[in-house]
Amino acid sequence: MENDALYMIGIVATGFAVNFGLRALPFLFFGARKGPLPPWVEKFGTFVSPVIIGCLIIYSFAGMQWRTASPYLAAALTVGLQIWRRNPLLSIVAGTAVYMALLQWLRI
Amino acid sequence: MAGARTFRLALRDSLPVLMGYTTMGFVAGVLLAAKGNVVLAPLWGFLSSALWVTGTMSIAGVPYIAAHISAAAFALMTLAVNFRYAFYGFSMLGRWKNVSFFRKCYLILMLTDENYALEAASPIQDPGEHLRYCTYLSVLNHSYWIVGVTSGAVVVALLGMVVDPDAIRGWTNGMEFAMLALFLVIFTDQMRGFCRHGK
Repeated sequence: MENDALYMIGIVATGFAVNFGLRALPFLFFGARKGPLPPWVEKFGTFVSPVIIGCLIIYSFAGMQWRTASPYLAAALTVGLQIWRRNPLLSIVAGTAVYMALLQWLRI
Repeated sequence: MAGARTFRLALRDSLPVLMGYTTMGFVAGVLLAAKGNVVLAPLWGFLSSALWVTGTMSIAGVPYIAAHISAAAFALMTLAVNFRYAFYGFSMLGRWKNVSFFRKCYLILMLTDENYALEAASPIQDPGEHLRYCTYLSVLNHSYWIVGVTSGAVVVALLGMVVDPDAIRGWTNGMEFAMLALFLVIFTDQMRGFCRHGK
C-alpha cells in the first residue's frame, strides 16, 4: 500500500514533468526574447497547425474501427455538412451519431 | 458584456470536447482502476488527469504502470509517444507573448490535441479576447477530462465487484468519433480559408 502510493506519486510527477516540458519547449526557446519573433518562427507557427491537425485526423482514424466502412462514411458526412452548413456543432454531432449508429447497430 | 460573450463562445466550442473527453476519460479511468484499490485508484485517476492532461498516456501507459515500469522508462515512453506536443507552442508564441507567468503555465499545461486545434484555429483577432477564450476553453476542457477519468476510476473502485464496467460504457461506444469530427471540421474550415487566400 505504502509502496504503491510512493510509486504512484513518482509516476504522476514523471508524467507531469515530461508532458509539461514538451509543451513548454517552444516557450523556453523563444519566450524570453525581447522584441518580435524571428520571421521563420512566425511562419512555422502558422504553417504547422493545419499539418498537425491533418496528422491528428490520420492518427484518430487508427483509433476507430478503421477496417470497417463506418468511420469513413461518418467522416464524409461530417465534412460534407461542414462545407454545406458551416455549423461545427451540427457537423460533429451528426457525424458522431451516425458513427455510433453504424457501429452499434449495423456493424459495418 | 464581452467576457460573457467570449465564455459562451468557448462553451459552445467545448461541447464536442465534452462528448469526447468524458467518454474517453471514463475509459481511461476504468483502465487505471482495474488493478488499483478503493482509495488509490480514484486519487490516481484525479492526479494523472489533472496534471498530465493526455489521453494517449492515460490509456496506452496503463499496462506498463500496472507492471510497475521504472520512472525513467515511463519518461522515455511518454517522450516518444507525446513528442508532437513540442510543436504546439509555436502557433501560440506570438499570441501569448505578454501573458503573466502562472496563466501562461496553465495554458501551456492545457496544450492538448483538441485544445490546441481549437485555440490555433480560432478566428478571434483581438489578443485580449483570444486570451480570455483560451483560458475559458482550457478550464472547461480540463474539467471534462478530470471528471471523466476520476468518475471512471471511482465507478470501478466502488462497483467493480458488482457491475461490469464494460456494460456501463457500452452505450457510449463510438462517441470518441467526436474528436475526429472536431479535427475534420477545423481542417475543413482551414482549407476553406486557405483556398480563399490562395486566390
